Amino acid sequence: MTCAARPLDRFPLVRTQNVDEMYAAMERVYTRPRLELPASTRKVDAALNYLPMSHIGLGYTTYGVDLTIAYPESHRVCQSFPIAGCGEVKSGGLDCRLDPGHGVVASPGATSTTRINGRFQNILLVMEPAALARKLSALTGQSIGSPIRCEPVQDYTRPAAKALREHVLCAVALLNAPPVTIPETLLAAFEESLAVIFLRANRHNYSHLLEGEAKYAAPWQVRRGEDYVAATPDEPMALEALTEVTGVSALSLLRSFKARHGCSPRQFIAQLRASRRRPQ
Amino acid sequence: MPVNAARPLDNFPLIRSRKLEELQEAFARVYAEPVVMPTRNVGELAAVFNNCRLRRIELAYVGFSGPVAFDFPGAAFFSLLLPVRGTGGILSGRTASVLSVGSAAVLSAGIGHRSTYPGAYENMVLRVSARTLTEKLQAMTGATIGEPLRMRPELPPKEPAAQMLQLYVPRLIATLSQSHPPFPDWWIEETEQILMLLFLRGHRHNYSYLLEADVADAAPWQVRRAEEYIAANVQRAITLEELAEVTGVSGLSLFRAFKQSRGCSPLEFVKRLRARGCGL
Repeated sequence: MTCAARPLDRFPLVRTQNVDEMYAAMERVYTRPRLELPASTRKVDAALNYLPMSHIGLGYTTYGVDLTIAYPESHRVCQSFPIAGCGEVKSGGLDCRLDPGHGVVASPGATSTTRINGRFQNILLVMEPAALARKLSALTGQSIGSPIRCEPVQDYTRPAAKALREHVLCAVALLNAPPVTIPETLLAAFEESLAVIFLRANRHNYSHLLEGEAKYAAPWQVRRGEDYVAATPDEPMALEALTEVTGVSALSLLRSFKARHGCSPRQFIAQLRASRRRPQ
Repeated sequence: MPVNAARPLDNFPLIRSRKLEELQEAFARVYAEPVVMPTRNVGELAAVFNNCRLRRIELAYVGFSGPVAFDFPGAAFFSLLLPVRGTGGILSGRTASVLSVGSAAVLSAGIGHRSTYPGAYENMVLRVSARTLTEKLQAMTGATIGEPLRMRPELPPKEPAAQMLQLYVPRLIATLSQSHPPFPDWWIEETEQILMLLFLRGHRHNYSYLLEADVADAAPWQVRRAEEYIAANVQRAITLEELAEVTGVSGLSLFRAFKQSRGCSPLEFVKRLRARGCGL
């Protein structure tokens, strides 16, 4: 496990056979985990990689030994995408399988105990709940009061979960590839797509808001959106900004623009900018 | 070439043929109708053409037994060709590029090309409509895209976005080859956005300067020089590229400087002067 290139190897956290070093590295990414190793185990064969973006992180872990890890309440949302080996997670009275076809989503506040075998290799998507709430709020137009809680059990043969898994593994492969520094704009684009796909693919306490038929935005809200784009032509336009000034959800904006202009808000922004630059 | 062996995107068949005219027809349906150039043994040509359309982006696999040569008229698409078997040559305008395994070629919309294949050849193709890509470019830069977007045929070897795209396309094709539509619309949307971003950032084109990460401010003398140049050439068409060349700063820098000092873009400034029918 030490020679072949592993996922996210460009972003190493630790390579070690020492349990304490491994534990110190784990603590840097996860909140104070507690390790239980069989008494006979003196050496591990651990590799931890982690790519932090602004609100989302992508991680890779392998420990090389059978291991039980107890995680206290985390303040972040964490979804695992096992790529080899197997294990199981106990969380909130639920038993979840961990293997390439099954994973788990840990929501903030939930405790869990993970037992994995020595061949276990995992890709992790780690997200700040506040950033997810902002994204969710932008997509739905609702204020997100209570924290997001995700359905923990993941079956990666389900089409939506499969699409998310593929997108995460793809992001891991692409971000690990170039031998030079990845420009911020590319990282931001991957981060945005990971958050949106995470929210759309997973079942959670706000899923219904993303599924229902969105209301139409009022004409004054569309105009306010137009004014905002016109006033800030050079800034990269996040959907959040547009929904904040219009006070209407991204799905409503999408529906209104589709009805009025036959295009999405993104295309709408492009057209607004283009028309603004043209002589009147 | 065995026509019945499993190929990428075989679940999205366009044609399975032994007739050259049918391959010609298949090209006409999804890209542009080529003229077949006379080669030594034009007769039977085993061909497989698979084509998967997401929404605005299409992924294709084309394989044929060759030898053959096509003359393509300008099409309404930008394409990225990734050869997986055999070799070929492309002549587009005055630029010749070689197609071989591990290399990649970019084709611009609106420009015809001649492609020559001495023998069996297979490639993967990413195709995006000129309109869609131009809208994405407008959205990213906020600039009006007057002059059509034109890709430079040569590929910058170390551009991270280009490397990521060359990994992304085969990976995506492998995923699609094992999947069945319909794909989740949010997955299609995010995937297409990233593909277009990588396409625009990874390749050199006539608007690359608008996407360059670090934008230095134009000095006042550079703005003045641009103004003088505009005044002296007010009767003729002036491009932003020309102004960038005269002043020695990027188009985007000039753009910002003009916005600050004149409250309009350089080209709007040209138009205003013209409307007044005078120089400065």
